[in-house]
Amino acid sequence: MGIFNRIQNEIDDRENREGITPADLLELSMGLRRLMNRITREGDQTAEQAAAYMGLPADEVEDMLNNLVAKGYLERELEQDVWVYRTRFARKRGRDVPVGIWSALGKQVKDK
Amino acid sequence: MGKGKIISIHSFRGGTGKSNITANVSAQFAAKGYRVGVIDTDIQSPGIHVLFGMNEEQIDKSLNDYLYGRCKIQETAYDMGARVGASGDIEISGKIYLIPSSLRAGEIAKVLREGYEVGLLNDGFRSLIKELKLDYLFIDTHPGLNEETLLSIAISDLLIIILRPDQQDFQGTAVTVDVSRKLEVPQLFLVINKAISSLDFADLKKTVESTFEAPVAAVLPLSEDMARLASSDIFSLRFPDHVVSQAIRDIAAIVEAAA
Repeated sequence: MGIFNRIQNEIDDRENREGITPADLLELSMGLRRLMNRITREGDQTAEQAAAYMGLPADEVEDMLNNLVAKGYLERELEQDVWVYRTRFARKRGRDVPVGIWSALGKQVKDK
Repeated sequence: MGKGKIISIHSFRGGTGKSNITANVSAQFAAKGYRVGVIDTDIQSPGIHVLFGMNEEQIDKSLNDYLYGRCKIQETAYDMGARVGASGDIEISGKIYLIPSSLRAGEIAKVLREGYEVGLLNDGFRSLIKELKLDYLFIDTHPGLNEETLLSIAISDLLIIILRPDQQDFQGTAVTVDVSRKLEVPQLFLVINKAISSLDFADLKKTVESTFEAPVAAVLPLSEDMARLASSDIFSLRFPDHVVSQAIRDIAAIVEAAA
């Protein structure tokens, strides 16, 4: 199985998300992680740029990127008639700790 | 110049001198004429502002204000040029901006309790580089591995990991090096800090490089002079002839050549 099919299968198997955490990048397979690392580090990438980096045809990579958008790992925006892809980060969740800890920090906490 | 590179300075454990080295290396870059930003993403326990001579009263807007939509990120950047250059004879020909995190207990608690949009932090890094026309953005992170640390490693062009010659630091550094390789950081350097004088520094450097298969940019000695300054100033600017200052300049030169 080629790298395109391996990555596509991995994306298909993954659950839909409302963004990913930086820690999630560590759990991806090498091929998918390489793609996601590239987009994350560069800030944004077109399918053509990502394809050149991955050494894969642009149309195949565009399919992968759109799949990742559908799964909630990436977001895309049309810039001068070209889709630009960015990592969609999940919100950092607050800590679920006993209320007493926050009240111990005093009035300032309640005011915010 | 005008590279807009992101440099993260990290350590697995606290107390390694991470913020001190970040402040000193970034100041050396500003002294070389670069436009530099230093952002404190240690939201839980901010501290690097102290090295730049700032206190809570002087911080009007902070990174926290940006993360909760109260202002633009560039409004949280303080020009440190006058403060940094005032203590020594070295002229700061570039620019150095500090983006502090809030010291207010309520603000720290809010981040811990409510979380924040990680994507906004990521966008903020990019905006700072663009709006302030930065050559380098230094990210001072919380020790260990958390959301901000992993994000900073994931987006960095160059990562510096600070460690002491200590078994706990060695084990933690191994974890961080492994993470940085998985996140494909283009450039990785180690800096050994607080090495006691009885150690053979050349041998220590060789052993660490071989253990982690990564280059050591410098070995800094444990310095009473630096401890005496107690984070009240940028050591390498105040005492440019000190052996620690020379090591700081070595780090700056290596980073400049690599990034």
